[in-house]
Order: sequence, then C-alpha cells, then structure tokens
Amino acid sequence: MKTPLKGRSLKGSLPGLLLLILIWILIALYQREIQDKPFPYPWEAVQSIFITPAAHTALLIHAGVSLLRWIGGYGIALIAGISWGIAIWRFPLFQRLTEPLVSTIQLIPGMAWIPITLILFGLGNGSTIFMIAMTSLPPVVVNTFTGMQQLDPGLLKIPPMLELTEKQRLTRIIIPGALPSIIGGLRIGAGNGFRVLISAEMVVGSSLGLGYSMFQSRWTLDYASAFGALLLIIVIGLIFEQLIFLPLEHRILEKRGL
Amino acid sequence: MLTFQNISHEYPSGAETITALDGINLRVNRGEFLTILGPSGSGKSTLIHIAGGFIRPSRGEVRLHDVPVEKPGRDRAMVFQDANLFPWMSVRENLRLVLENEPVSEERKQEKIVEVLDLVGLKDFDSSLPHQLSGGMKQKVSIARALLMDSPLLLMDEPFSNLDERTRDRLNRDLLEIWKLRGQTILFVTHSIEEALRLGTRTLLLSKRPGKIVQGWDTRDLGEDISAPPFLEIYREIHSTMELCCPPSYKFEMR
Repeated sequence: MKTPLKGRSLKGSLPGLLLLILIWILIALYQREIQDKPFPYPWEAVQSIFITPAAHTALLIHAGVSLLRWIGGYGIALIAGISWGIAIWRFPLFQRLTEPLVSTIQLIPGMAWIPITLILFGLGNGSTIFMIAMTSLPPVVVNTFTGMQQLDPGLLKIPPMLELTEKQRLTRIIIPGALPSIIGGLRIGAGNGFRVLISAEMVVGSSLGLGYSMFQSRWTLDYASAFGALLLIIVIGLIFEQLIFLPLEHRILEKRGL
Repeated sequence: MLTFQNISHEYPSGAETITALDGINLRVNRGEFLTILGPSGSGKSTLIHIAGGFIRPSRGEVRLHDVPVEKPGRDRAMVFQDANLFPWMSVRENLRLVLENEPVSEERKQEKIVEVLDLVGLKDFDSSLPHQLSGGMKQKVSIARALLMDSPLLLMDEPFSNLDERTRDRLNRDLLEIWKLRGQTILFVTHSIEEALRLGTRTLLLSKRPGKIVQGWDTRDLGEDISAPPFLEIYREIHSTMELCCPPSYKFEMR
C-alpha cells in the first residue's frame, strides 16, 4: 500500500494546521462574544498546559502517565501481534485455530472491552493497558501475516536454493520482506490504541491521565485545561506519526524504490 | 551427471488434470551446455524446476551424481526468468546472502563477491539497490549469485526472455565467456531457436503439451555468426521440425 508521503510531511501539514487554528479562533470568538459561552481561545489552551492551578495536577504529568500506559499496551500488542502473525504464517494449524479469534477481536469496539476489563483488572492501569493492547493488536497480526503471505513467490525460491536455515529465512527474508505491511499495521494499531486510551481513562483510569483530566474538567469548569489536554493528544499523535512512523515508512519504501 | 528418468508431471487445472511432461528420459553430461527449446506450454520450465528440486515430478526421478533430487539445494544454482533479487538489499548484500553459511572468513567472502561482480561486469554497482539497476543488470546480478554458489550445475529458465534484443545478445555473449572460463554444466531453457543454437553444445526440442523430447541436435562449433551456412542449415531444420511437432497456431520467433 503506497501512501502519498509528501502531503503528510510536517511542512505539508502546516497550512492545514493554521486553518484549524483560524477556525478555532473564529468559533471561540463567536461562542464568547455572541453566545456568551466560555469557549477557550487556542492560546488559553496552550497556557493551561504550562500553568496549573494549585489544586490540580499539571497537564504534562497527565500526558506522561497516558503516554506510559499507551507504551505499555502498545508494546504488548507489538510483540504479541508480530509473533502471532508469524505463527499464523508459519503453522497452518495455528492459522486455522486462531484466525477467527483475530477477526472477532477486530470487530469489538474499544469501549466494549470495559465490562471484561473491569472484571479482569478492576479500575486502574491494568484495565487501560489491556484495552490499548486489545485494540492495537488485530491490525498488527493481520498486517504481519498478510505481508508475509503476499511476498513475491519468486523470492521465496531463493532461501531453499541457498540452503538458508529457518531462522535466516525468517530474519533475513520473510520479516524484512513483509516490513512495509508490518509498519502499516503498527501505525493503524498505534492510532487505535491511542484513541481507546483517552476513552478508557475517562471510565476505567485512576486519578491520572489526559482522558481523566478532560473528563474532570466538566466538574471543575476548567475548559481551557480540557482543550489543553486535547492539544497534547494531537501533539503526541503528530510526534508519533511525523517523527517515528512516517520517516520509518519513507525509509523502507525508498529502499525498495517505491 | 544429471539424469531425468522417465519424468512425467501432471497438475490440476480446475476439475481436469493437465499433463505437462510425459516420459522424459535425458542425460546431461559434465561440462555440457544443453539448451532445451520448445513452444509455450511444452513444459520446459516445469522440467528445469523439477531439476532444481522446486517441483516434485508426478512420476520418474531426477538424479544428480546418482543422488536423487528431492528439494532445492546449493548443488544446483538456478537463474530464473525474473532476477528475484531481494529489493531491500544492495547488490553486495544480495550476493553476501549466498555465502552466509560458508565456513570462510568475512574477508574471503568479500573477495569472492568482488571477483564474481568483476566477472559479470558490475564491479562498480555493488552498493546499488535492485531498483536502481536495468533489467539486464539485475539478471547479471542473478547470474553472479548463481556463480557464487559454485555449483557444478547451472540451471537457467529463460533468463533473458524479458530483456530487449540488444541486451539479450550481449548477455548471451557474456554467458558463453563465463561458461568457457568456468566450465560449469549448464541446462538452459529458451523458446528462441537462435539463442539455443548460439549458446548450446547440444539442443533438444520439446513438443507442445504434453512435453516430450522430439529430437536433439549437436550444436557445437556453430559459431556466433547467425548468417553462416551451418548455423542457417540447422536453424531451418529445427524450424521445420517445430512446424511439424507443434500446432499451426504456434508463432516462431524469427529474428
């Protein structure tokens, strides 16, 4: 799957971001001046990230906690998903046994895991991490498997001819060959995980996390802080997309002349 | 050296079974450059894949040095119709993979890579990626990979059929030079009479499906001049045999 990389670069996204800020300002202006509602301006949201009322936890601490939870859940999905995908590709019996399971997990919306996760882990980090892992996992498994399955059959004739070992075949040929598809799955999984992280923190998280902080703002009426949290979510997403996945994908595809 | 004993091969096609090869008996001698000629669907590619161990024949046996061929291996280097280079590896890395399990020093491995790249005329392209090479250059890397395997037998399945005529002529000449230099046994499949005659010391003609050996010709010392009388004489003979053995729908390659 080829993606239009140029349009998604940071520089390419700048006009869109500026437009978004402009729309935000216009809405805030309208809401405040005409409707008399406390809709925060962008600079107030930015300010709330760095300046915290005495009784509140700083937004950056909430962001750090959210990020750690996401890393935990996504890390589990990454390791388990790639291993699962390899096992499905390698062992037909395992494929027959577990492929329906992957399809089923894929169908479950992130928030629908709440009853199960509450029974299994109760309120807190365990539940959030579990929900992130479960929603990030399916695309990683599916893309790992399909990437391996779609390898050029001509290339697969070479390892047996060279009498490469099973390990060499996997690490030198199969996984690198499936890498563009695996990275695609990891990107989709990362997005899924991040979205469910915020929702999960609103419901099953403890007293920390961006989702929790946003949810709390409805009681504290600190709308600037809720928007600040939203900004942090966007910034974290952009960092992963622009500084990790995009350069990685670009490098992998470029090497293949794609 | 390499023997095909009563090889037949069938494969399913929907509800039917198609017989690709029927009762092939053949012996390839050491140091020989045997070209196998045949129209599309004659099973020549299936035959060479059976020799490579990539296809198990429905009946019969292939033996190399009297050992049955059961799977692909380093004793039979194969060059395919497509170069089949790993696109994420440079030319050097593609070749280095051949020597992965060789019990020699890294320095010697690198020397061998340089030697073989020099032999195919790609010394300056060792760090290039496959997508940066032309079709002919990719096929040269594929040949270099096969040569690096140091196998006694080189199997070539229409390796130049996807290339333009000039590149193909040049690679034919290069291949002949390499064969004269290294003296490997080569089994070369083609659908071009001219290519078969230019390269082979012996040429066999396979009939249209099911593929059977129709006739063989000794094609040593024909030279490269395709307008020379001995070349033209044998060319016409093969041409008319093909017309007889194959349905009239078959289009001969006239160059």
